Formats: sequence, structure tokens, C-alpha cells
Amino acid sequence: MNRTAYLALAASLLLPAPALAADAAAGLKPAQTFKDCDDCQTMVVIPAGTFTMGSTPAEREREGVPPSFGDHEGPTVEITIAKPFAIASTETTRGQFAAFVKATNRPVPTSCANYNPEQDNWAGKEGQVANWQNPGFKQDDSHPVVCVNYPDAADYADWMSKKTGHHYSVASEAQWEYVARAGTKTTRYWGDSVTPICKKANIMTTATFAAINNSEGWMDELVCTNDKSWTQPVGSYDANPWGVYDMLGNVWEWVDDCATTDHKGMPTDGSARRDGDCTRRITKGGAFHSRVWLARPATRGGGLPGTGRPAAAGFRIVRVID
Amino acid sequence: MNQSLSSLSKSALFLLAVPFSMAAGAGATAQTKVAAPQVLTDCIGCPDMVATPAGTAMLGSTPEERASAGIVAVFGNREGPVYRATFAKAYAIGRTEITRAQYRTFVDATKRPDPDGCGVHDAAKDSWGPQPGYSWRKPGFTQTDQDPAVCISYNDAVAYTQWLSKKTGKAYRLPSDAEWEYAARAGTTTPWYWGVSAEDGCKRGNLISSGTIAALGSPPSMADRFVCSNPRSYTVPVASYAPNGFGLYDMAGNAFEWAADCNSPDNTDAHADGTARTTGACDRHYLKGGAFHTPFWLTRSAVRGAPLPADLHMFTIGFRVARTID
Repeated sequence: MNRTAYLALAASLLLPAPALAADAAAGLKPAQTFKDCDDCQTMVVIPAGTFTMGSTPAEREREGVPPSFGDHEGPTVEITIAKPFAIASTETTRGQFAAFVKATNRPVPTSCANYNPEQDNWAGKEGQVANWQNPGFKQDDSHPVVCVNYPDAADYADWMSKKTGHHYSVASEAQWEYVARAGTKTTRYWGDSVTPICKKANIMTTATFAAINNSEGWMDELVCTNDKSWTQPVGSYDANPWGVYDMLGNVWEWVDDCATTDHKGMPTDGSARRDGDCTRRITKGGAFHSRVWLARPATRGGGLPGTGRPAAAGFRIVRVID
Repeated sequence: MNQSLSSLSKSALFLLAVPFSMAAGAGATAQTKVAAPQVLTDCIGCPDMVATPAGTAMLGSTPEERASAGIVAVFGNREGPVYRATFAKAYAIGRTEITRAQYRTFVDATKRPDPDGCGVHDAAKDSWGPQPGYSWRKPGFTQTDQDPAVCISYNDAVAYTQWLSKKTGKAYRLPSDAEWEYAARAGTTTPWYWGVSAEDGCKRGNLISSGTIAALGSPPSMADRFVCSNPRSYTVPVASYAPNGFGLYDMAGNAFEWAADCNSPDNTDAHADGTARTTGACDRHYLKGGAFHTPFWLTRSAVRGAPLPADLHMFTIGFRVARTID
């Protein structure tokens, strides 16, 4: 240990604790993690960089994406994220959301757009009481929260900001896709082949298909053969190359952007779009009941009313690193 | 009005009708080249045969196709390299797999003894192997007379073609690998005759499904792979799905089909005139087209199945016949 370092260490031991805790993110390198409080979410440091957002017609053809859906994912656009930021390593869990609801006395809603077997749709059942505490399938505190809408997600992020003194928000679509791609240029972070996905993401399975009684609306899709139905505890699958879990599958994740029909006019600095229809928001990543082609970084679940509470939608937060 | 994410993906499902009908349109274009399929039937009860057009095609698969399908090299290398085959004149190939009813007619006429067993799936051990008591009559699942005959060995299939040749005076035989693949491709160069999408296959053929997985007792050996979400479990009656561009049914899925060829490690010894390999490892033959229980990548047009003995019976294996046109 040289003399300067020795003095610095001695000084740090002698100095009184600062009034404000030091920033837990200070000095961390990409892929390192931190927490801003004991019961705060684990955040992963994401490097600055440039990536291509959206999908090409060739990708959509290979994946069998219907043009009327896939056209929302083009044209591709170069995005430059000028400085590192942090993203939650997992989707916000039910336990984490419950702490927010308790701390803020937030009312528990009574409706959730869950599976309606009579209609074979996901518009919810008339007269039922369903919400994030009871979405209509079994969950525990380690599962991603569902039956939440965009304001629930945004308010959660604001609460986190107040609680920690750092700037949290719902991930922008560009930030989200940048992290989902994790520095790769292929359809999914492991390559262009769909084959590995059943071991890497919680998408539609034979068990979930059986749980919705071989629903006509989900007939003749590709599904994975395993006994995992509905949501799974966050982090049940391997992390992507940047150390982030469940970017594909498990639950759709609300992002901060207002709905637009495609990427024309997309800001290129990684910020969320504010020029679209802000009564509607974009969702990303696909969910436990999604067909394969929906679980791609480029996919945009578009045009959903931000106030809707789908049983397959949760969210993920990001934090500014100063 | 609340619209859920899932009603979105459901509306996307309806939108699938758009690319699907486009794909059907592409098939119709291919069909117009050969006009309506010319069907030959040499006797009452004989299989319907479709005349293929003479022509040239690139057969086998590229390393890119195999990488995209996620195939292990040791198996996938059997499908390469891509080679050119020229069919100087038309030949006829079965419009469908040989049905149980058609096979029974042959067995009754020739008094052919049933095999002493057939390979089936043992759910308790999650293993595949021969079990006594099974045969094309009793493959371990319910079939109609219009389902493809299964538990058919290479030797059984060849004997059927010899009987049919004697009966009709025409030269029936098993299709060569090249003839089978040329007919399956029907002018396409994509992994499947419907294109590049595995998922489209769920509507195009009897491929592995959630019903199959459930019927097999959710075997651990088949966990975490892709299947189609539908309740169909084993074979279905032939021609339950739309035909390919040459008017042929079930060229992907339903039952595996024997090729006439002797086994070989890859396509470097494929015949440029589309005939079967008749030299080399002739104690082994192989399958084309995949079956109701195979991973999707095994249902591509280029696939050459693993080398198998000529007397092997499996409840996933049937055949289709070819015939020379003079």
C-alpha cells in the first residue's frame, strides 16, 4: 500500500459518517450490482453504448411475425446511450410491490384483465374481484407482480426515488431493448435460432395451455414442453450476458414510452417517446402465455391503454447514475 | 373498454390468417406450374399416385439452414452438402402415406405374418424400444383405416411395392431420397415447403403437439422443446392437412417415411440423376419427413434420418411408394 492510499484509508476511517449515504452505484463497472437500501431491488450497471433498435423484415419473416403486427418494429434506428445507467436485475416482484402499496396506503384495485374461459380471451371475468394480490393463478412474493397498469409502475418508481434520493423511473423502450439485446446483434441474445428459448425464458408451455383448457385461441402455436404454468419466480432462468433476468417471457413489461405505430421519429438518445398517444403505452418482452415470436427484444406490444391491468403485465425500473 | 395484452395477441392470431393465406397463394403459384396434379391410380384400392414434373432442383441443406434450426453438427452434416439433382423425366409418387387399409389389403393377399413386436415409447422408463405384442395392427394408439400404417419396416415397405408391382404390372418401388425430397420441396428451397417458419407448420402438418406430449406421459427426455399447442396425439388420417405445391399430403410430419437409399454419411455420394444409392452401407436405410413425435427440425425437407436396420419396426414409421412412368 503506498503512502497516499494509506492516508486516504486512514482519513476515511477517521472522518465522521456523511449526512447522506454515499451513492451505492458510485465507481461500479458494467455488470456490477448494487442496492440503494436493504429492501431495495438489486440494480445492475449497464454500460454506455450504441445499438440498433427494432427488427428487420428478414427477422420478422423468419420468426413468422404477422406483418400488421411486426411493422410496428421498424424501421430500425441507431440509438446511442451516452452514459451508464442501472436497471433492476429482475421484474418488480409481488413482495416489492406489496411494500410500496403498504408504505403509500395505495388502494388495491378490484379488476384485472385475466383469463376468461367462457369468452376464451384475457379481458377478465365479469363480477370477479381480481388484482395483483389475486390474479387468478397461484403466485408468491418471489413472482413478478402482475395486474398492474402504467400509473402503478410510474408511481412505484417515484416512490423509489423519494425513498432513496436517486432518480428511478420505468425503463424507456430504448433502454429496455438495449438491455435485452445485451450487446448482441442477433434476434435474441443467444443467436438467431429459436430452439434454445424453452430453457431460457418462461413463455407459453404445454402446462399453461392445459391450464387454459386447450384454448381455441391459443391453438396451433409453438409452445414449450414443461410443467411450468403462469408466472415463475423472477430469476428462475439464466441471466442474459449483462446479468439481467427474464427480459424475455414471464411477464410483459410496461415501458415509459407513449404508443406510436413504428420507430419513425424515435429519439436516438435512449429517452422515452413523448410524441405518440400517451393514453396508451408500449409493453416489451412477452409473457408466460406468449407465442415464441412475441418473446424478442424488438417486439412491441403496442397501443394498450395505460390504465389497463393485464394479468400478464408487470414492469421493471431503471435508475440514473450521476 | 379495457383491452388486455392477451386479447392483443389473440387479435394477432386472427391476423395470422393474412400471412397464412399469402403462403397458400404462393403454393398455388407453384401448383399452376404443374397445372392440377395429375393423379394415376392403377387399380381399385391402389394408392393414388401423383406425377411430378421433370426438372432440376438443389437438394440437401446448407450449414446456415442447420445453424438456424439449431441442429447438432454430427447429425446435420448428413444433410450436406447441397447437391443438384436432375430428373430427366417425370415419375409418380404416392399422394399420401400408405394407409392402414391399403397395408391390410397387402397383408391379407400375401398372408404376410405380423412382426413379433414394434418399437414404442415406454412411459415408465421414458425409453423407446421394441415391445412384444405391438404391430401395424396394434401400434399402441388408436388409428382409423385412413391413418398411415406404422410399425412398418424397410423390408415390409419393399415387399409391399413388389406385391403392388406384380398386381398392376407397373414398376412400384420406394422413392429414392432425392425423389422424395424433390417431391417434398415442390420447387421450394426453404427448410419446409411452406417456408421458413416452424410455427406455420402447426397448421400445415401433424407435427409434435401438446397432445402428443401428454399422451406419452410428459417424458423428461422431451422436456423444454417446442411443440404445437393442439390436442392431437399420434397419427391422424392421411391428407388431414393441405397438400404441398405438387399436390402431395403429409410430406412433413404424421409418419416417418422410408427412403430407398442405402445409408451414407452425407450427400457427397448422392446421385445427380436422382436415383437411390445402391452401394455402400446397404445394411442400413434411413427416413424422411419426420413424424408426429419429432422435433421440428426433423421435419424439414432436407433431413436424412439416422441409419436404421431394414427389419426395424417403430410406431412412428410408415412409408409412401413411388412408381416409374414409362
